[in-house]
Amino acid sequence: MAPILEVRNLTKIYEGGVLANHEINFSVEEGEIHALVGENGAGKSTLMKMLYGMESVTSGQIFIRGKEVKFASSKEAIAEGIGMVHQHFMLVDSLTGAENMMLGIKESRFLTDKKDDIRVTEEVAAQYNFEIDAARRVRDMSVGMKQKLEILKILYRGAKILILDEPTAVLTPQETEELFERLVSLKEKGMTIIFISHKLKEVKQISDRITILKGGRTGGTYCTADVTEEEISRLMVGRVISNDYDKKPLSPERELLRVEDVSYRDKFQVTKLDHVSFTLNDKEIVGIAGVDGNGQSELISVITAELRMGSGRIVLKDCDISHASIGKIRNIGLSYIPEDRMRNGCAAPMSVEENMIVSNIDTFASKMKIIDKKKVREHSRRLIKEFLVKTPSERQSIKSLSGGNIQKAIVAREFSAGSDVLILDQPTRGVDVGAISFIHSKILEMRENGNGILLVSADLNELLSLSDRILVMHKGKIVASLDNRTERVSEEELGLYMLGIKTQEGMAV
Amino acid sequence: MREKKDYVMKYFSVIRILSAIVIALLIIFAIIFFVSEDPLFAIQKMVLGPFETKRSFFNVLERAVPLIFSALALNIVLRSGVFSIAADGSFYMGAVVATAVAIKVQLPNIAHQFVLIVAAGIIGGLISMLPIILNKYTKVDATVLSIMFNSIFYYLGYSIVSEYLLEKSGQWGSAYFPDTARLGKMIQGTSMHWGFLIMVAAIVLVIFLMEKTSFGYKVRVTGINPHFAKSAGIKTGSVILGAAFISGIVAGVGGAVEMVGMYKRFQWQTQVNYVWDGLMVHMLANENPYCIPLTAFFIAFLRIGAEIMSRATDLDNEIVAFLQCIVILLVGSERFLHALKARREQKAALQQVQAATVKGGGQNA
Amino acid sequence: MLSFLVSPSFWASVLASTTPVLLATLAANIMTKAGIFNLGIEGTMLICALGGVLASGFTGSLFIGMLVGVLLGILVSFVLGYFILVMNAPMNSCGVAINLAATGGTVFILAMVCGSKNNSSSLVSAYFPNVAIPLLKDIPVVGQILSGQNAVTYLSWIFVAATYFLLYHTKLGLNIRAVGENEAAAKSAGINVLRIKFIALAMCGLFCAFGGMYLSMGALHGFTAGMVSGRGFLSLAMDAIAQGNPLIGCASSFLYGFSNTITVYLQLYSQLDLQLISAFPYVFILVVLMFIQLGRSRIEKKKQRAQF
Repeated sequence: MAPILEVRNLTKIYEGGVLANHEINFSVEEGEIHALVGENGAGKSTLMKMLYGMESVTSGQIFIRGKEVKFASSKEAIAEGIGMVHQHFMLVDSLTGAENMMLGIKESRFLTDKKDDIRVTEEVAAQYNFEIDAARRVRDMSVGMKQKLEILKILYRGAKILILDEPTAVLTPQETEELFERLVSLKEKGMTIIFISHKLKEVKQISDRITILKGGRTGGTYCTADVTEEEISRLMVGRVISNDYDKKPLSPERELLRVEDVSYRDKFQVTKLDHVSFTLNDKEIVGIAGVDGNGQSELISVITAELRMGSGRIVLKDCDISHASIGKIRNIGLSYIPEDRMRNGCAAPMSVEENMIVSNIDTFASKMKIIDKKKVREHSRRLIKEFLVKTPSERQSIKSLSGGNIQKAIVAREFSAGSDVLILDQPTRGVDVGAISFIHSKILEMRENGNGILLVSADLNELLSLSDRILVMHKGKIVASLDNRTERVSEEELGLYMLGIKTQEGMAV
Repeated sequence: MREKKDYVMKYFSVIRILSAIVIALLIIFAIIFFVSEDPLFAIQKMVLGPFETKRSFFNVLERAVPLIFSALALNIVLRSGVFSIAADGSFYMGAVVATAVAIKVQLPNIAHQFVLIVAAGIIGGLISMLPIILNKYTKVDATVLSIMFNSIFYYLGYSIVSEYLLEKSGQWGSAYFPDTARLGKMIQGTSMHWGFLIMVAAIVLVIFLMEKTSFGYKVRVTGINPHFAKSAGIKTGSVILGAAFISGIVAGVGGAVEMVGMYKRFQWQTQVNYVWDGLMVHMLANENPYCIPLTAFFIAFLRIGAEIMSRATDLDNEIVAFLQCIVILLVGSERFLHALKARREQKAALQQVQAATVKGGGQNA
Repeated sequence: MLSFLVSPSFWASVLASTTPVLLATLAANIMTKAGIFNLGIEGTMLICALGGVLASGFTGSLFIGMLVGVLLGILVSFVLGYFILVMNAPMNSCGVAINLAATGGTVFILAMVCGSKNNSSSLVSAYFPNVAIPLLKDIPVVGQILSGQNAVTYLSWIFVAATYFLLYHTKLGLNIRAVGENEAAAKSAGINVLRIKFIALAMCGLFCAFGGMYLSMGALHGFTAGMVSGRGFLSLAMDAIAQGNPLIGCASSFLYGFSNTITVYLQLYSQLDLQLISAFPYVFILVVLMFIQLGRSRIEKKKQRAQF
């Protein structure tokens, strides 16, 4: 029998010439949970959007039950029994659960019937054993309930193939467990589930087969039982996991950054940072580890003045910067590579040259605030050469470069600003292997030059191979401070702290 | 073959704008053929009319003056990422302030013009800042605010002239400007005035500000990506406010120059709406201040050509409005001539990948 | 001096001067709900005002005039929609383009057809009648205010109710709101977003058409160049107050009608010879808008705190 879903030589090139998928091949059998894994930027989301008719296919074919299909819109994909739960929920916040459930359903009725909608929604929910409050507005629902509503919504539309895009990224552990139970029971009811994730533990737990995506191409399909997590991760990353750098032993001489007792609550009054304290010295790299969403990004945002802390104090080179603006903080001596490079890291249509001077623009201007073009050109040419940015010229617009080269240009800008403290938020996410090792070598070079570096990364290997010390965050607290200088911290130990199973003595109150 | 391809990509935006203009002109000519008794004569008048006499040729240049001031003002504020058209209010009030200073203050020649232009500039600048400030504190859309303020300042300016500056006899209008306040004729036999030089200075200054200074750079970064600008340490709020202020100064000076350069007294009884023409000039210039003079002359040429045509034939000069509409719609459309570019980009991306696989084949394995 | 406030004729003029702005605001409301910022309402109204006059003038039929006006309104809105939604042009500049074409184009056509750049007085056109409502007209005061208004005024009230009902009690309205609030979600639910947006645009065109025609075929019996004079722009401010809700839109339009009529009465009946007072409705609406918006953000903050 033909597989329920098959993809042959699927290629997607976005407007502006970005190649997201290149000749993807894989197939899904009916009634299985099929995991699709890959690093950020491997092309998972693009592939799913094509399967769901949200993005047009540049070339290649999609087959459902052996029959070729071409989707011009999600509507046609829905008609073929495909349903998708997006990472960002596709729900209209101001409408109720029932209204969202009924949205877009073809019916002869012209008027809405709120009571009937609620009744139908509750029936469907009961049928699949989901609990939701159909009369409640979506904006007042918890994340878990929103997700259940999403799944119900696509089931109600007759979906037989469910695509879940990183469904656990936003859930609590209990919610994740509950979701997995539901997914297994849906499988038993004959549904086919495509599960996208980069959390290997979950993939291993729930899937029957795994297809690996790497750099926009398929890296093979495997039975889950036959591969270990290490093997999957090796296939995903495509390089030997451990990279040992030759790190000179250096002893710090002075303190550069001190975070004292910092707390932060978000607009929903949820505690995101809970009395966080640590120091960063010169000539050292301090890594911050933690499962996504345990306060790392809030910590960076508080230090870089994007968010205002609730209480506490931050001292940069003996200046209190608790209430300073980011401009002032940068002037005192802090540079920052943001996590989302297209949003916060560059101005896409501007040239490489113009992007390389933004954070220290005033040093290129004379007293009259006139920009010294010659100085800028020399500076950018030097940086392009030094940081191996592959670009036809310094006047090329930065968006036409590859992700790795954009990141190298941003690193070049921030590292050349002459700041003592460097804050790196996921500096190598979605960057090709060559660029990663280059950026790593530059980070180590900055360390030897006497900079203090705060490194936040989801890539444990990056943390372990670069950091002198590793701070582990869990639920907004620093639960461990591990010395990585002489002897490497083991990945297992780090994992135990990250999951909150273990807490270092004297760290948590 | 390859060179030709690069050529299209390199001049893509120019090709787009030119094709939009050509399409719009063809439609206008079609309308003329449809409604005119003697279409060929009408088109000839419209296209060649401005070249016929010295006077009409200089009419084009002087008509371009308010367009250029408006477009420069918009260039600054729109590139900071805020769609505020408060420049209209600044322009009108600039003219009113200039009128007030011209009539109520007595100063020697040169000093008088200088003072009235400076006053108009400052008032214009303050007016343009209003929508930005109120937007910050009340979160009301800056576009809506700027449109409301344009109406309010029109009524305000109108009533100031009516109350304090009116010539009691004859048609509605202010008292006549003294000679010390007017910008004299630059070229005899035309209505070309010294304001033209002020305009040239304004062009140079705005280009200099936007393209050569760190302030202009900050404005552009803020407009393109405010998140990035913020995280790079740029104070986006003050940058936008500063841009609005300077934009208003340019518009206010423009209003003053137009008033004391072109007219003997203030007679604007309706909103002058140069801002919309200015917006079109700004868009046609592809947001590039270097191109603003050129596109402004083009629009002014069309306007004067149409006026000459309307005097000579049965057609009304407002036919230009259709052209403006079509050009703005087409130039604004991302998808206009999009296929031309997309195919090339796709090919380039595939070529890149293939090149990479050939080169990097050994590395990956 | 303010004794006119108690006269029925004052309140009747309030209702009359509310009508065009109310229709424009309704157009803006439906656009907001569908997620479009339509700067071209002003121009659309102007085009319809002329279209209705010319069509009725040449055919002598009010019905054909109305039909042409409405079709023109829908056509202009569709052109706008085509460029915004299909050609991906920025909403602001498309609206500006429509307005430019309208201000100049109406003058061009007026000059071509009627031989005057200012008005259509050479052409006798039809107009919407004033309607005396039986029973109601006999009630003192109330009858004088509510009865005898122009047919379009009554129509505009029906439109408000119908739009409100459509938005909040029908499937179509649900779809419009979903599309406007979260286009991606609506799309993934299988709604044809483009179709819904064009339906909303058609409604916008319809309301603009009656708003324009009220001016040229109701309040005045003929077209005057630039006769919309900013009402389309004002509607954007009204809509910023209403945030798409037609009932609030109606209330704020009434507020405008009131302030505008007061201005007119003050200029007519008081000794004050002050041109400045013409700015009063704008200032008034602006102040109301800012206060409401400030209040909104305060409530929003409180809500967030109360939630947890």
